[in-house]
Amino acid sequence: MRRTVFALALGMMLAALAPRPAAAQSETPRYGGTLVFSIGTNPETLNPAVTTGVEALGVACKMFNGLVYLDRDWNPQPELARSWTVSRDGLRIAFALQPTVKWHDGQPFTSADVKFTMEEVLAKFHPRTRLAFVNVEGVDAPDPLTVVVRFKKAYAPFLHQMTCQEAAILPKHLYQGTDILKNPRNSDNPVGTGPFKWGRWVRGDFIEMPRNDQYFRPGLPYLDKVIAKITPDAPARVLALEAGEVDYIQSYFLLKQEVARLRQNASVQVKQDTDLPGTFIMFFNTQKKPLDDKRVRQALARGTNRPQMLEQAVFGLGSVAKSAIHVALGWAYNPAVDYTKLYPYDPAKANALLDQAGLKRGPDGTRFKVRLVYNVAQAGLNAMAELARNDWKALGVEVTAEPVEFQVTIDRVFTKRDYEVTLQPYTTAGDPAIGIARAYVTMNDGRPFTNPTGYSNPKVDDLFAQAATAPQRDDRRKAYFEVQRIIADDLPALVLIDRTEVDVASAKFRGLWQSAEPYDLWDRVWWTGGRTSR
Amino acid sequence: MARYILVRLLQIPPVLFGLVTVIWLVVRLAPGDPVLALVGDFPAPDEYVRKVRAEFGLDRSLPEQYLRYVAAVARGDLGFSFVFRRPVLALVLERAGATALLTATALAFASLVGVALGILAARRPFSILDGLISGGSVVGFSVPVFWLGQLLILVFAVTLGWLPAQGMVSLRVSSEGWARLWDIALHLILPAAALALRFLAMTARLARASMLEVLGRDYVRTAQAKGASAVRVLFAHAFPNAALPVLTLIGYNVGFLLAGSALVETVFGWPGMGRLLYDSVFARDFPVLLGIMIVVSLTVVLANLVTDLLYAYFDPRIRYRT
Repeated sequence: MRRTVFALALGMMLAALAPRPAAAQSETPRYGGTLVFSIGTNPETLNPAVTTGVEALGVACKMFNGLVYLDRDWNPQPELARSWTVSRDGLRIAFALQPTVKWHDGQPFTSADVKFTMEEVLAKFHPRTRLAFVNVEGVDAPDPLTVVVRFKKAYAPFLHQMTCQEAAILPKHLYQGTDILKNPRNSDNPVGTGPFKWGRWVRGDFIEMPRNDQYFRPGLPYLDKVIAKITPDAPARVLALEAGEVDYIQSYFLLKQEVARLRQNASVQVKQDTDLPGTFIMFFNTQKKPLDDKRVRQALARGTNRPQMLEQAVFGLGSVAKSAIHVALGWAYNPAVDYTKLYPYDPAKANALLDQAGLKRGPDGTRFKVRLVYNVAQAGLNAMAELARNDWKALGVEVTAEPVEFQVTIDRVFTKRDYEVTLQPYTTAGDPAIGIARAYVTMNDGRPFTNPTGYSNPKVDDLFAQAATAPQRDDRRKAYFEVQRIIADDLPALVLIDRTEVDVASAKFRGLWQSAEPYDLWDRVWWTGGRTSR
Repeated sequence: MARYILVRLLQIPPVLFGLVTVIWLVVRLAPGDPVLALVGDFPAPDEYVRKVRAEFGLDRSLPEQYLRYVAAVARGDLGFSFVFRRPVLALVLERAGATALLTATALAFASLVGVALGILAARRPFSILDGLISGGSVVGFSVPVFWLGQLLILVFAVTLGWLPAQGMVSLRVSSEGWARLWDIALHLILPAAALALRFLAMTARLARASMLEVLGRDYVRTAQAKGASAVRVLFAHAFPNAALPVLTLIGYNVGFLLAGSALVETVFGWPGMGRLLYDSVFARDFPVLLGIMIVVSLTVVLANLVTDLLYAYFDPRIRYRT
């Protein structure tokens, strides 16, 4: 009964949080207008298939497409692929392509473009998707509108990765036979299939992308033009939105302490849960004493006031984390694992655990010292480090906060493992196989943004591998449920906060946030001041 | 005079060589790996990292990298950006114009208004006007430029709506000819004001002190005694001598203005070199970082040269000593 009530309450809460597209649906879309969106700096490339850069993808994914896009519930929906079939064993995915797609230069889009991009670009150069292609045996293009991907072993997240963000399709006729990373189209005049096409780039200032009149979805896009405005200073970005010079700021570029104020501004719409969720993780270096003892790690978890961190460091935008897997990845999250119950803030219990572990207080009350290393430029980490330092003082653990620059963080934490505790923001990338496994599986080569703790548990490695390659979601779920249980006990890392992403936009625009991807789907965005016909 | 100029010009190459070496060492010995910055926040395959490293010559030994770099710079080749994958010279040059416009405007404004305020203050030392100018310049000197920038945007762009908040041109309407110049001028006001304030304050204080010193000299008293008007005494007799330290300060300010422009460009989204410099530091984009440093150093060296020449022109004693 209690569980039913809880489920009902949760359902109502979720319903309240769910997107409310009613206003957008009851109005008829209008044509024309320019939407100016904010980015932090010049994109390093305009080729979306070789980067994970936020600026690059934010711009390029207005001009390029993936085979699929993810809807608000993270289900793949047709983009350049009209439909697809996955074989029962998961070893073969056949994509049927949209028949009417043309590149911006007028050339027809065919399966040859997809085969070329997958084999020659994504499998070789994409920082993230490259790993997915390790499982691919071959890509076939039996006819111009069919692509078949054959796998050595099933790789469950593959379909979800075929988005513009993870696997944008490039024009073979412009990239074949060239040095992919140095192709001049990467920095000027890129040719895509997307709703907007190349206009001009005034470097350091803005990038202009006019409407693609030949777009494959008839009648779309509604807007005449989109402009990426380079606004490097985060506070000034919000001021530019308020001054009406900028219309949209994506979560990555938004100063979160401004959100509460912007909610009061009638000319601004604030949208929560916009993108693939991320987390803040506290990693423990399990190769250093006394952190090699899991009782010590568990004690530190209990001695950390995470609700306070949520309020003071991330302004309540998220929730106190419950497991290694973000609760928003509902199918994979194990509800039997709940860090808020396993490790509630309880300094007395934490002290008792440290006593049990044999860590006696010295004459000055200190049991041991740790260095807490983090990237000084990452919003929220300074506050979290300060709060942890205070919390742990009560446990007799002396924390030296070491805020360092991003590059130095990589060197200290991942390359040299010269730290005891570190705070890191990780994205889940929408699937545990992509974004979460890397933080826990055995990793000893110092690669950045993997598992820096030295923690190595063959059972955990095995379960994550099983979950990544099981073709059926039920089998994946079983493996993830089990692995969360093990991690919750071993606790090589404590997920502090499950973040939620927040975008803001001018209230004059409708149709934003059609997709769960951070770069969204802007062919359906329209301006309320536009014309009633094209 | 010609010999003086020649000697000064000949000093430039060794100074630049020293600068290139020092900057190269500082940049390369800082922790951090451009390749790791480049491959993003996900575990990149080793083979990919090796490929990128080799592509940019980062797999060679440090002395070899240094020698290759110096040889390339001597040929006028500033290298290839790791991040943008474009030649550095092109990247820097397309941004240099905006920085030059911003810093030149700020320098002119700070110098003219600063000197004027300094003279005004010195005319009646310890008067109310002097107190206001001196006090104001202490405040102006102390205000952090990024804070001032945000304040200016908040007041003049968001609240009053008089001036644009970001960038160099309006995005929603495109303009040509005079309208475009006017548009750029409007966009220039706030960033130039934010950049200038500190230097205006410095110039005003120095101009005041320098004028006060000169105004107490015998020859000024003589000029006054022979019945010269107050304006003539001030501008024909006192100012030319008081101007020398101020001139030095203005030349000296060029380097600081270029440094300050990095912050101002960031706050105002001004498309200059400053932001490029900032980004290349964080991305460890060594070629761009070095390229900008070299261009900025060259500008500062040349600005100092011009200052010295002007100084020599105004003060014959300097010429004779070289």
